[in-house]
Amino acid sequence: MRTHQPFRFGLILAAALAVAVPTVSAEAASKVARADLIASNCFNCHGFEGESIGVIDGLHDMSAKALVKKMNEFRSGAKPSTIMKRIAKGYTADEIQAMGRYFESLDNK
Amino acid sequence: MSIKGTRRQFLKTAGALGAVSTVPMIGCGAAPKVVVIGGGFGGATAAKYVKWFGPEIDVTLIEPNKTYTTCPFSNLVLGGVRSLASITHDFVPMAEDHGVHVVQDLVVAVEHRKKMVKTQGGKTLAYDHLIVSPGIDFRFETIEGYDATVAETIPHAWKAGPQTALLRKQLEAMKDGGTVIIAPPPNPFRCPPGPYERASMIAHYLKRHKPKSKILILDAKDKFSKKGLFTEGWKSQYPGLIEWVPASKDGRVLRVDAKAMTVHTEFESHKGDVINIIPAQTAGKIAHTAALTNQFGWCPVKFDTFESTILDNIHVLGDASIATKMPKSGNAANTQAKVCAAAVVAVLRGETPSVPTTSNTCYSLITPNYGISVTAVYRVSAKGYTPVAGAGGLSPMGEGAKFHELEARYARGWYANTAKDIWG
Ligand SMILES: Cc1cc2nc3c(=O)[nH]c(=O)nc-3n(C[C@H](O)[C@H](O)[C@H](O)COP(=O)(O)OP(=O)(O)OC[C@H]3O[C@@H](n4cnc5c(N)ncnc54)[C@H](O)[C@@H]3O)c2cc1C
Repeated sequence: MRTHQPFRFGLILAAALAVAVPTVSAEAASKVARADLIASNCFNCHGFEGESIGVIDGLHDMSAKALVKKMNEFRSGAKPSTIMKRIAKGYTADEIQAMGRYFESLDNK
Repeated sequence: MSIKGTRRQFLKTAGALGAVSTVPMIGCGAAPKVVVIGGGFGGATAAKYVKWFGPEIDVTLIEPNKTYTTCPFSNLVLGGVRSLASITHDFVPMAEDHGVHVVQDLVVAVEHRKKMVKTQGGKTLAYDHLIVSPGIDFRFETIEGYDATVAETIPHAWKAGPQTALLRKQLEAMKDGGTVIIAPPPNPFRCPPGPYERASMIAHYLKRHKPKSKILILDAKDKFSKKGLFTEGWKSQYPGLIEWVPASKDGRVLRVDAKAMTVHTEFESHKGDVINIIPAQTAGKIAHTAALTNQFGWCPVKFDTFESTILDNIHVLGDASIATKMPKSGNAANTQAKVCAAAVVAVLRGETPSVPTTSNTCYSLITPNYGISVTAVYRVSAKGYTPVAGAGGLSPMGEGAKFHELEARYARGWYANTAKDIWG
């Protein structure tokens, strides 16, 4: 999206937007999802929307189940880590579930 | 397609539309307006994430500079292991990919009653919610003989960019056997472990290129962040190179004599070949101009929304705000901005903001391959942000090279992904 859009294309997008609005409003009504907010805490190290560009693993292709399992293993120490044990212990089971739901919902599996 | 996918798609579409300003809004009257002051860690995150949570909102980011150079990793520039270019980011993705209007200008006034801001360039911008993340300013008056002009020869390098380049140049020009003086500020200040990471990175450079040189840290405090870990690392990596003098042992610098390249404490004076003064700090100037600060010079906020307790509909983030136990760090500013963005979107939609949980991770490098960290998850209560007990904390003491090498790798991973999260 870095190039200039010709105006005609703009109109097509405007039409698409007109269609998209009701869907989005319906979702808007579902509140600014707490799952999104809590998952956004992970982005600093694991990448925007879980897509990592650095040496740290991304999370965008993880299922909720896999994420919950991994966090529990970090917490208990079953899976060794430098920092994840300290971090995993800070979140409740509900919050970890919510993070899992967020990454699972991403449309790139 | 998942809900998330739908929204993300929409965001891209809305973003593209933002670039085509002649396309009228469809149906529902004017979009609510959010104006953000400052394109640093707090402000740039807030602008991007208001759009992320609420694509229907019209967001304008005002920042005087065309690019932003991060303080994080600027100590690595001093150590000669990173270039300034590699820690400098622009606002092109902000405008073109995320649909934020980017205005290159300085805000000079906030008219709270009229809900508008005025810029140096003569623009007036109206807002429904204003988000302010101006970072810090220096309290030069706390050190005799030091001010913005003297800082052009004796740098603070506590805002990254030309100041960083100047300090690096001076280190390069210094003779072997020289003394580098670093004078860290009293609390509270931006990046509590920063001065000590700086000492480490300068030591890394000196050890390789000027091994007879010394670093003298003249501190305004008696303890500092990650002190045990830094001391452990200095002992193994730079034995005898770094000396730290606490305030209680006459470490506090009271006066600078720029001509004589000397700093004065209560009882002594020290001559430096390179001197780095990091003055005491206060909220960025516009926070004062806009009357958002308290008697201590920082901005009190409601913890669940970062709305000012002084002025309605104005939110303050990052270093300028009082976020209780959260440190003044880039990572903290970033997570606060996400909470604030979600809250602003919720309020504009007539919803109740959700209860936030924030986090912070600060890596510091002792050598390019020796990292240490502190982390916390914070919960909010009436008293503010408190770290979850039994979680978070420092890297353990006594770990081996393997552990610290991993932490150094993750520090680089953190930098890459955080920068992308904000300016990407
Ligand atoms: C040496 C050093 C190392 C650090 N390392 C780390 C680290 O490893 N990890 C970490 O998390 N943090 C680190 N920090 C801390 C981090 O840099 C700050 O906490 C962070 O920048 C705070 O973000 P902010 O949004 O409050 O302010 P800033 O990032 O300073 O952004 C403020 C922006 O507002 C703009 N602005 C100011 N006034 C106006 C106005 N009137 N109108 C328009 N725009 C305006 C400024 O130009 C600036 O771009 C470090 C700091 C230093 C000094």
